[in-house]
Amino acid sequence: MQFPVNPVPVGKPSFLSATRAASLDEIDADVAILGLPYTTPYTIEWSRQPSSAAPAAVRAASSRFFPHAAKNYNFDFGTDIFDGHDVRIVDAGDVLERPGAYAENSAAATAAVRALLQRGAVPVILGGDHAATIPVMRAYEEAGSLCAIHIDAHLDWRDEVNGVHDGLSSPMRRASELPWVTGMAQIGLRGIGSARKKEVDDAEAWGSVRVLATDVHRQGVEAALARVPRAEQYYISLDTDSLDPAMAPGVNSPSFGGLDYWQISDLLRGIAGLGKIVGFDIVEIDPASDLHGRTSLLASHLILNLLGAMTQAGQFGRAGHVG
Amino acid sequence: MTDFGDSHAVPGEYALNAANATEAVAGVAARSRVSVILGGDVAACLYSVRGLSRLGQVNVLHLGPRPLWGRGADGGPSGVLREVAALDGVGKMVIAGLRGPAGCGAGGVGLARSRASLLPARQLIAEGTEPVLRAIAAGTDWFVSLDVAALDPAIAPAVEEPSFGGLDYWQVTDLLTGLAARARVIGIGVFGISPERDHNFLTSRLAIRLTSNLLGAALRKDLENHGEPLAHPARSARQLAGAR
Repeated sequence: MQFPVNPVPVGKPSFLSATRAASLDEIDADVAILGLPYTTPYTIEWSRQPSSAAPAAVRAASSRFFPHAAKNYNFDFGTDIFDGHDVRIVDAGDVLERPGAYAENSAAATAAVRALLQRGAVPVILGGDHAATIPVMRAYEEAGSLCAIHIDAHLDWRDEVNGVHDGLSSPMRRASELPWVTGMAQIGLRGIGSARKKEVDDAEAWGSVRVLATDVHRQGVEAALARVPRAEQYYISLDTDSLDPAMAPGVNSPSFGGLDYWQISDLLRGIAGLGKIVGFDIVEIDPASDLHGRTSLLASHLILNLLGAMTQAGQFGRAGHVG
Repeated sequence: MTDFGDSHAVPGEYALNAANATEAVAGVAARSRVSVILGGDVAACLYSVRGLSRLGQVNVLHLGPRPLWGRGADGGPSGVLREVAALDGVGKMVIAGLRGPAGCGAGGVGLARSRASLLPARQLIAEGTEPVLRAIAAGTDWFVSLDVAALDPAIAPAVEEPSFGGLDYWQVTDLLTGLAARARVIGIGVFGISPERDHNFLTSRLAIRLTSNLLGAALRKDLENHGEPLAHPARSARQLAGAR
């Protein structure tokens, strides 16, 4: 099958200067980066959504770490970030999207992620707004049951907005409808979003564990992790507006009182210690309202920290790839 | 307070510029209770300490996310603290605020650790200033090398290499005032500000405020000990003559 994917263009950086995959069918890697500059818009203005520029911005920011990321010492890990292991990362490029063809774009995204899973690579998705999570999580049908970890200021449980069911306010509602999603924790919630009381009640009835930002600030990350449902597999969706806008100014919906860098890093590391991370997305970055690319650089750091945590947890880089 | 202007620098003449900077710092230091050096990137730390150390032994507290103990070209910023450590007249070194990518391998970090006290940012955030101040002997002479990247990029955006999870205003203020209350601060250098990356002059304003906080604490310490602010109590007439 031909997957509608645009390889990272020649002359533009790939994530961490990773090898560029010519075809998803031939990927042989531990981790595959996939750009998903995706949305299903609620309004005609949003059809040119700001986060469509984010995959390129995050790749450009990540190029600062090359070629030292895997070799140099990292104070937060007490060793190099991959613990001496050769973690094989490829950049699969961006899912090709056509204006207006939202159902086809969604199907293409699901097919691309499914192809990565079949090749045994953990997908690391660069959104896109939060609509991107919907087609990604649909690709896990054959992957066994998983718990969704949703780190976000907002609940994202709307059934529809303006008659659109697959938009950025609905990813956790859509995830809850997938038979293979057997648990959910939503961490960093605060303030006002798209949710009304009905959506909160629905999330509660489904069994979603909601950890407020104030819970993390007052009780710490360990207490938050203790409330996360236990599972063998986790999918993590990280909305950059979970971070405080002081640190992550370039987001679509800044929300004050957010989590800080250490809290998010510790959350990611803690979840990697609970079970296998089968996929990750980072969404809602708006490069045009960023300050000197800080939010994209922050995203690169968080991805590296997660990959380091997965390596230290023994998820990859152990057998056969010791560098 | 006197502003001595800028050390003269000629494009391409790096050795000459380094020598000029060293002479200028030594001259300023001989005439000042506290010398305030405005960098420049952290490479200027080397010339600052070289100038100060001509007048007597100096200990160095560096605040920054990286240990700067790499093996880059001589005078380059990535190995500047390794070069500072090799100077005659440099006593104890404390490097605080470390986090994230070190900019060198485990070997470099090991060498740094064998010469300097290394304190991660997370330890300061969790435990406060005490782990740093514990390494400072009362009454000794200290130079503060402040790489503004020590601070969180949320409040100090104007840096070449933002490092997340950094120190906040109060943590750095408590460190500087705690040091000044305990030991004799003879200089501070503010390094690594990239104004074109700033936002509403935030980083430059922060540097002014932090430096002022340090100077205020040093003045209070003098008033407490001597009943008056001292012009340059740390330096004897012999040392002053030597500097000329």
